[in-house]
Amino acid sequence: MRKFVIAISSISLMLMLIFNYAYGVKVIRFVTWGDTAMFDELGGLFTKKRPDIKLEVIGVPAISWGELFDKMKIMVAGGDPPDIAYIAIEGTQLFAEGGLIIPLDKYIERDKEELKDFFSDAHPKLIEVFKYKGYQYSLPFEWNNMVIFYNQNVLDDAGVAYPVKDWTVDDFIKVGQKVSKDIDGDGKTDIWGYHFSVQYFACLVPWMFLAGGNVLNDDWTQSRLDDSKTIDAVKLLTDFVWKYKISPLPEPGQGWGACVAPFVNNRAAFFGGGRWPVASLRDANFTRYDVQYMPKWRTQNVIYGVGGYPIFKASKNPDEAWEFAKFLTTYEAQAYATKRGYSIPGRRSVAYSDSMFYLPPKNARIYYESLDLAIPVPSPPEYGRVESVLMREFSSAVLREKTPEAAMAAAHREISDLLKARRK
Amino acid sequence: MNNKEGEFKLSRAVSLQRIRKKEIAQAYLFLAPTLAGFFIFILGPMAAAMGLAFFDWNLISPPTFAALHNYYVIFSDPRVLKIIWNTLFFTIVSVGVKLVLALLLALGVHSQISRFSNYFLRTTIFSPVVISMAAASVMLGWMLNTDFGIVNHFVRKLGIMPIKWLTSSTWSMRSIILIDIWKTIGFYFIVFLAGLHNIPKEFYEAAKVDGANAWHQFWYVSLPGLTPTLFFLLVIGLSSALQVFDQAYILTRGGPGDSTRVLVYYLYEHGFQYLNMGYASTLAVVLFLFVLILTIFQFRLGRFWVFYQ
Repeated sequence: MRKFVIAISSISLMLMLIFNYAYGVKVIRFVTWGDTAMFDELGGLFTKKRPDIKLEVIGVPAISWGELFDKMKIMVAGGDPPDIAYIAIEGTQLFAEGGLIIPLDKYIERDKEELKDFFSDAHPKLIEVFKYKGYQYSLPFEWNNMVIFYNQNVLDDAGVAYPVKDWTVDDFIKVGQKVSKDIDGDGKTDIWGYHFSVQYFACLVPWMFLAGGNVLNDDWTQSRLDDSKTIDAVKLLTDFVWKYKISPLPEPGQGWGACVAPFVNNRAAFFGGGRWPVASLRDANFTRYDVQYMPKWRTQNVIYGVGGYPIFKASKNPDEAWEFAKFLTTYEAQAYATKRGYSIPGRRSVAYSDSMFYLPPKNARIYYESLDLAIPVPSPPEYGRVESVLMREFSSAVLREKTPEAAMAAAHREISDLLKARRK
Repeated sequence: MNNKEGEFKLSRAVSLQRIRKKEIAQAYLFLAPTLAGFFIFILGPMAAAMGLAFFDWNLISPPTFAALHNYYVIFSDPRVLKIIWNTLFFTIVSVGVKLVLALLLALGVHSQISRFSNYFLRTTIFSPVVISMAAASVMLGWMLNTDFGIVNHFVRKLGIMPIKWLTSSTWSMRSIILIDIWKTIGFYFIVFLAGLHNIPKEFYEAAKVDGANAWHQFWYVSLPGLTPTLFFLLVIGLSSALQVFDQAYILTRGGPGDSTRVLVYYLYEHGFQYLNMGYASTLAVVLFLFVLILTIFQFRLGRFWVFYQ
């Protein structure tokens, strides 16, 4: 019986392979960050529409965009390139400058009727960020900004009102100080006001925007780390730990995920994130939270980054890869991902649909409306190195190994040299 | 000797030569897979790295010849000196402590008469060795968390201020060294134990007859008998410690600042994060040369203090 089952399985597999080969089923390799479950399911939906194209999803574990892009570049250099990959704005110029991805203009022009609905439904800011040197390299599937997640249990216990849209940094600090406490008298703070990790998009740069500063200038060719407003953001985050005592020391080597566990255990009032934490909070069965804009400081500008799916130059199936990229612009695909708590959809209609409000937070409408205040995350071709240098110096400052001024001065020197080398 | 005898001897010599050649060919055949692996996966990449050190290459565009520019950059890079010092500090302290502690543990276990306690201690001391360093680092990263880690929970109970195990430049390298010692001391211990077992009991009996106490027995019998073992562990330990990477990558990412940035991690950053393969290859060549010179020096010096029975 066993031999019979093995024989039948082998014959079926062979027939399937022969069928696929004979009927020209193309397999396109898609690389994404981390867990592949959602894209496996999207791939299934796509294959129903296009049975001649099969999606092979490859998940790459990484704790930062820089790490993910490095791994993709290694795949290309190693002669094992994907056909299409999840490359956010942070990597678009990097990959375009390196000639690794292809412009999509000819495909967009060819299928413009089919894409008309998408272009009228997506905010122009989400599309423009993928233009580099006059060419369009990707279309937005999803995007993220940074808002403050607040724990309703912790705020209720402390008798503090929930934050409103025009709350200020002073309000933020006051609430943080009110909720931070040692509950068992052992001299250690058990509940913290604000958890943050040493991260570029998910921590430092949003606060730089609020301070009126930035990592780089508007066209990402010069460092602004010597700007006093930029340095003020580093000082503030350092003060959260040492002066106001509303934040624990961020541990190096741990990503934003380290903020979620204390939050769901009612040991943190606030942490920063886009929409990506929603899935983690759903998995933890935690619903007593909502979101609000980051507190107003000199500005209330919001950072944003967009997820796109460019096609690799080395792909042997660019036309098929484009079909999948086009599928990701559809209402169906974006609603599916949004409902799973993935990110903010590129389409406005999905962002204000039931798919968005299917899960907490209730205040989810602020995600899409924040685009009017949004500034793209600085993403030069040297993104990986810029992120690495800045995070190294930021961690030195926040751990009080260096003053914020000295840390940013060192980062400014190194990043300026890097950008100068590009201009040569 | 008559002709027939001469012919017999000649044909015998020829047969023996044929058999010898056949044996040599068979020996090479058996060695072939290992040699092929050595040439393809070790010697080949080493030669490639040595060649790449003279080029600038970002993996994507073709390499451009840079002559000795990468070597010049190493010697003018202000961070390299600190990184080399980190690597040497880690190496000297971790290997030194492991050798002393492992020897003491081996002497202690070797003197255990009870078979059960012998097996129990050997298993307990060796068990961390079988865990992967990456898994151990992830686990210990959480245990050593300054505010939430279980280690500081017990530190507080002792009335001591929480220690910033991984969040201060003072403690981060010490923490990495401690983790390395905990994780790998079992290997040193087992090798020392095997070395002690190899020392003939008659030497100890003879020493006792001559009135040697426990210290004399250790100093005049155990230690000289262990010198080959010590030499082996020193060579392996130093070359391995100079190539430390896992803990620095997983626990601290080389931080805070550059306090735990070691040479191989710096090489990894340049090669695989900044795609500066030429410079990374140069760092690899410098490390290789240093380990080679150190090993040759150890072998030369070993003639004066290693005693083989």
